Amino acid sequence: MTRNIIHIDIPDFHIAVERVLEPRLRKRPVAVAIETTTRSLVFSVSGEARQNGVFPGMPLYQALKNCPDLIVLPPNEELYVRATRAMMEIVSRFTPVFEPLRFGHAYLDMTGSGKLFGGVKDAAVKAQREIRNRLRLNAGAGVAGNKLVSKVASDVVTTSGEHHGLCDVRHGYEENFLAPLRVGLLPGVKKKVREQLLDLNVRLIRELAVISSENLQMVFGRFGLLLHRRARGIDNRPVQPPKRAPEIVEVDTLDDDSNDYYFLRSRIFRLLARAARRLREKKLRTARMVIEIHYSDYKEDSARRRFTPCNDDAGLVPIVNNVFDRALGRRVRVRKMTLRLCELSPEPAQLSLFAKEKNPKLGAVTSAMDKIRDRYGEDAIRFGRAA
Amino acid sequence: MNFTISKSVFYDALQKVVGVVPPKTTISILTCILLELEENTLRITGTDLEISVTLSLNVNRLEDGAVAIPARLLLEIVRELPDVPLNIASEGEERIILKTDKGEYKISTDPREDFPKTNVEEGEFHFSLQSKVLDHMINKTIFAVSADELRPALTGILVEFFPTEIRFVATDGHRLARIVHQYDLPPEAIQNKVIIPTKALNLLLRNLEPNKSVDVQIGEDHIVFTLENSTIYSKLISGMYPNYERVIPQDNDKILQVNRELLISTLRRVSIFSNSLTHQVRFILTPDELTIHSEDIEFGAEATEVISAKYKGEWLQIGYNSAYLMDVLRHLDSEEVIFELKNAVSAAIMYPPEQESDEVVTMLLMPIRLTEEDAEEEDENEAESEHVYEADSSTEENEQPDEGDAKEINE
Repeated sequence: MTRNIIHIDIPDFHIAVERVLEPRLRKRPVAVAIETTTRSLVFSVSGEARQNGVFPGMPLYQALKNCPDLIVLPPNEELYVRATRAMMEIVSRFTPVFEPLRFGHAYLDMTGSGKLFGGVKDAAVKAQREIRNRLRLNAGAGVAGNKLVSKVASDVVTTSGEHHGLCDVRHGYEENFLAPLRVGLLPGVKKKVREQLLDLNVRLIRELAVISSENLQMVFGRFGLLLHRRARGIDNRPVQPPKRAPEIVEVDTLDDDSNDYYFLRSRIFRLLARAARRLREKKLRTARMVIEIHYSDYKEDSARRRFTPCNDDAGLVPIVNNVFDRALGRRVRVRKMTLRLCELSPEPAQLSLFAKEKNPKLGAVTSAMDKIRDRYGEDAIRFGRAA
Repeated sequence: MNFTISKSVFYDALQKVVGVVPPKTTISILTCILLELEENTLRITGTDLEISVTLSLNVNRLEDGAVAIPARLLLEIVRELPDVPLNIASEGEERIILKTDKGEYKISTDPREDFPKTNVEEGEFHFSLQSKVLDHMINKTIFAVSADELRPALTGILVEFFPTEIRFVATDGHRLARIVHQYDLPPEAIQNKVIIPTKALNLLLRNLEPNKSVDVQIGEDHIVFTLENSTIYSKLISGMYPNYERVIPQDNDKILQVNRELLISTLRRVSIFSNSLTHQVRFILTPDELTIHSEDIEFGAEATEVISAKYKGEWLQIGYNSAYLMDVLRHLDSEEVIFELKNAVSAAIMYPPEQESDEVVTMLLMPIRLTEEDAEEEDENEAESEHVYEADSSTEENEQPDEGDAKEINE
């Protein structure tokens, strides 16, 4: 069966999402960067900024020098995650086999779904329309028989300025489609490879395609073989749905950044109570805890610990104390805290002869607290601490 | 080295030794066995550095010598040969030739010096046991040994020495087997306890000969079993064995007596319908009846059988892993088996109604926590049984279901 792959690409994703929330940013040069020092690097730029000589990875002072009108926004990861999740929710309606690539990019494997959406091109148009209508984001799309060509096709569309265009490469025409394009459009051909190819007088993909794989391997080693296949539009990689180990995540974004240790600790305890309750509801146990601390200067620290599987507050409280103290390594104010409970396993049904004798009263207290929270809300009752 | 031996004798001997050779090892010499010929005695030694087996047998000697030879290759070729006399002779220093009347097989060898030497130290005390007793005690307990490498102490059998008895205990945390044998031990052995690796005991079982005495020598960190023709040396497992006596319930007040074979055959049938991961079967105990039920929700299959049993306790429902339970039952020899029970979350004690005069066998099995659906069903059953008992209250006053137990299950 011939494969049909769509690559959805929202160009300048970070800026596009910011512009949805703040329409005044439209048609103005915008960059995302951490504005703490002038030496910070630019993370993402809009097309207008690019026209003024601002590029991702450029030092901020240089960007401001090139484009004095540049609007600099701080990264808002939560917003990007939310937008990506919403986008994935839309594409998941078209196919169960989709692969999120990074913010605003996804591969959709539409093989065998012709009867549902009336052809892969129609499905791509529908997906673009859905994303535009629901998220107010313009998505480019590439349609082809494999991941490589669909990605290049969507890049051709978005770099040409048609942010919501579509490029359909018919089966058997992959090599012809790639032939006139610049080698830099091939995935994996970054600056260093590009320079090496330039030394060989290779600028276009068709010039690369005629070089034998043996010769390319002499220059690039094993990558040469891959390059040879890519230049001919050959790519058998399957679309792989994200592999994610199940985990329970609780996030707390503070209203005001704080570096008050006791305040932060009380907040992490609140996260733990919520996460542990979810764990018990799902009848699972956790064997690993990760705490991530996001500081106001956009730096992060994290700590983790493995332990004997458990799901009760009493067992997790000493662990959270220890992990939190290790994660909080700086005196800088904290913006956000994330608590992850990983390595989840079901509560064992087979009872053990040598199980640690649990304090039955503590179990009853946990159960009673869960009931109170069910009825009166999350903050109705919390663990306290003797002075 | 040059000798002649019958194929069947040589093959039997190899089988007893090759078990110790590790299937995968980074030390290639350990995949070999050492053949040493001195006068008319051939000594075959295998080791994995923790356990060593040495076996002696008589051969027709032509020339003394010693070589290390790949164990599995030798075993495979000897197994495939017909039962004819074999001649094994060294060819130079790096090969042996195995000759039969049909042909010859050449195998590369290693020099004797490369084979690790086993230094058997003097033991702290020793005693003798009849091979029959040893075989019985190992077989009754070895099935319950844990395979969990993270708890090394549980991967062996605990042997405890008391003034007039020896105890063998094995557990994997879910079931426990204990056998106590009456025996007068030397005073220096008293209050000692050792954990013997399963691999050593399996090798011992393979080497035991009926109606012979086995000399057991125990040192600080090793044990040596000396049999008539072979010697097995093993390092002991260090580490703390859990306090198993603490988990043997003392207050199990409900007694169930059931025919062992009948229970095994019923379990075999009913467990076909159990979940393939949990093997959960449910015991529902009512006066003089035992209902065994299993279901696999994923496939919509279920099975129920009722067998007669002697039971005079309250209505009780317990879940067990059928594989574990059948294992325990198969290792009891009696016609009937007694279960001492307390509730759905406590260990069941199992033993034969009549024990041998010089031994006491006790098995323990922890139940499976019943799921919420089971518990709900249990509530319904309890309500039904209450109704039945109310109707019969004049005759069966003592068999009212215990609300306390049911609550415990629900929680």
